[in-house]
Amino acid sequence: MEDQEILRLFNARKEAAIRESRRKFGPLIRSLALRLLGSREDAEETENDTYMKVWTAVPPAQPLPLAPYFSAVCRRTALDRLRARTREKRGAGAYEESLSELAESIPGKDDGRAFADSIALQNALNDFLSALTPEARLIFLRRYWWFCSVAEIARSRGTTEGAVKMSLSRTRAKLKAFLKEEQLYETD
Amino acid sequence: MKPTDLTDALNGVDPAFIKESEPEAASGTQGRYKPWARIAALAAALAVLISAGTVAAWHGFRKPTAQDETGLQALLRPLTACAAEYPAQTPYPAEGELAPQSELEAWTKADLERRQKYYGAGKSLAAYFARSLPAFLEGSAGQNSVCSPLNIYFALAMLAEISGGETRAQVLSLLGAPDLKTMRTQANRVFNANYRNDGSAACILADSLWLNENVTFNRNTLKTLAEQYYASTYRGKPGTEDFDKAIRAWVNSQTGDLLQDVVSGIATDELTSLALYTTAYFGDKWQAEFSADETKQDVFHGPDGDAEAAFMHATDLWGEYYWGQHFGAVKKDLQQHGAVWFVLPDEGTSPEDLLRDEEALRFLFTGNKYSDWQNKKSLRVNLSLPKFDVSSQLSLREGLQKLGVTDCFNEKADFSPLTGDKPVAVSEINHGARVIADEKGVTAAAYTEMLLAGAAMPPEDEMDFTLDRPFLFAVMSDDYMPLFVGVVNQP
Repeated sequence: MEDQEILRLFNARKEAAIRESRRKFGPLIRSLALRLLGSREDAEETENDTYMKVWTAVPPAQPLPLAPYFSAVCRRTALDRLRARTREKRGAGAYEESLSELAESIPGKDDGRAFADSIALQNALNDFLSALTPEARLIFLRRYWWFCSVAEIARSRGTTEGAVKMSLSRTRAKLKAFLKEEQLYETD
Repeated sequence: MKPTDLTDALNGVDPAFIKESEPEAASGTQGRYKPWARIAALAAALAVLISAGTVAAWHGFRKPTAQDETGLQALLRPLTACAAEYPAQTPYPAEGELAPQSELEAWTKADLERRQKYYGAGKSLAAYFARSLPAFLEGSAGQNSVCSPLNIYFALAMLAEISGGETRAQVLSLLGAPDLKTMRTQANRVFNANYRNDGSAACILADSLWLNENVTFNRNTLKTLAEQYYASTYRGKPGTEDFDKAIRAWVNSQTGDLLQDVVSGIATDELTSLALYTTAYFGDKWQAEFSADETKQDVFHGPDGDAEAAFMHATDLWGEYYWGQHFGAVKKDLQQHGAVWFVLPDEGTSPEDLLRDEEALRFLFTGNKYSDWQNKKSLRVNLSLPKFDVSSQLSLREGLQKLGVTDCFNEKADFSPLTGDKPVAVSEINHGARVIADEKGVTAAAYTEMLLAGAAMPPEDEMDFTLDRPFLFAVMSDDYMPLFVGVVNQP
């Protein structure tokens, strides 16, 4: 079913909106949640929570295309669930790995404080991603947005794990320089 | 800054980047999901009769088909004065068969075009429905009652078409139409917005006029009835077996034989000058089924005391809970044609009280409740609904007279657009309807205490909605037209 038609079902408050969303986006967001959470049960619950959040948000929200929207809601929901779980000392591999790698991109000392202006950071990241080559951007987002493993990325791109690691390393270095130039970090 | 800041900020990147980097979905992650496509059935049928006769009853859920089409045509052919042609509809590919994608696409396209073309057709009728419904359903305290506001609307619209002068003015006033031309256009649009006989679901509206052969008639009026209301006119000798048999066969064919018991009692007499029958048959499946295994006997607290009823149960119904000063309400979607709304009065309030409650009526006939009704909350609902089979036969005469439609019943009646003959008046308007809601599946009513207190907002994201005491229901089309409205006092 086309996104427009699914959106119409949400606007008309038809349960079929959930059925069609599950059919069209279920595999995508389930696999995202599963990569992050590592638990099929948690992934299922995250998927259901995602539908509920979208149901509540649309309308008034009218997101098109729908796949990125569902994915973003799912990612946020899964991260929240993961962090709640991490507080209970049950960390997940893919997420911890990605955090550890991303730490390399942060200019200056990690002072443990939350960054204050998330909107500015989001805008800067969009600028940064726009300037990357399509392939570097895809690899970067597969790793840090979709939480795919290096091996998965290499397999899907028809390249080696070493090449993927190299690409990620270069992009993280560029990101660090970019954030420093934009002064998007706290300097004590 | 922490790495989590970056992770969080990435959530807000351009959707185009998310889309282009989308990985292939893991195929191994599917499985273990609750099925959504479930089954259940709801069906209804009725007939309205002006000037002679009785009406409706029924049983079960079937798509109406004339059992003996050849026999029916043989009965009707000699009586046909003016035949109507129903709107052509693109057929829905038969379920259970592997239909070519092109057939489904053709149906989807046609369905969408029809919806768009006739969207909002009945919007201006909300005031009429809110005003007339209490008059039609009152007087049945403690009993089940049901009617089809849409069906009555068509009967009245045709009455306006064949009448003149003050007789017509009274009907137009009730319908809220400034003039006949406006009403005619509106009735045609309402018909097309709701008529569905394409195999996907059934909402079959049918109108017919039966004339005494001794009455002369205006052919142009019959032509208008055929073109604008899809009404066929038949002419014969009232009071004869052939004439009555033809009427009965016609009503049965339009309602899938569901009204047979009552229809068998239809009998005209030789003094009948005209009889008008309109029927509506409705059948659709629930969007999400009840599970039959979980249907359980439980107590329904009726006005005459507690009684056992079979409760169907559906969990995780997606939607909204709406509330007003004296009621709470949820809807359950149908597959093709709108939804059924369930309105539960607060403790101490009866469904009949709600029919006199301005806020409840406003709620019932508010078109897009999601956008226009303030007291609502999105949540998942666990619905417990008694299987019900309600029917009633109503005389609309008194109700219509209270609503100001009086002349058509007395010597002032003016039917000059139809005939210039001797004074013709409506002797009776009867309306029969029956609605059955059942399941082919259900759930045990793990019901909790009612928490539908007046204006209180439900605190959680999930709630139980248990219809274990008298309630109102309304079968509404996607276009917010009330196809059937009823009170269930005894499921």
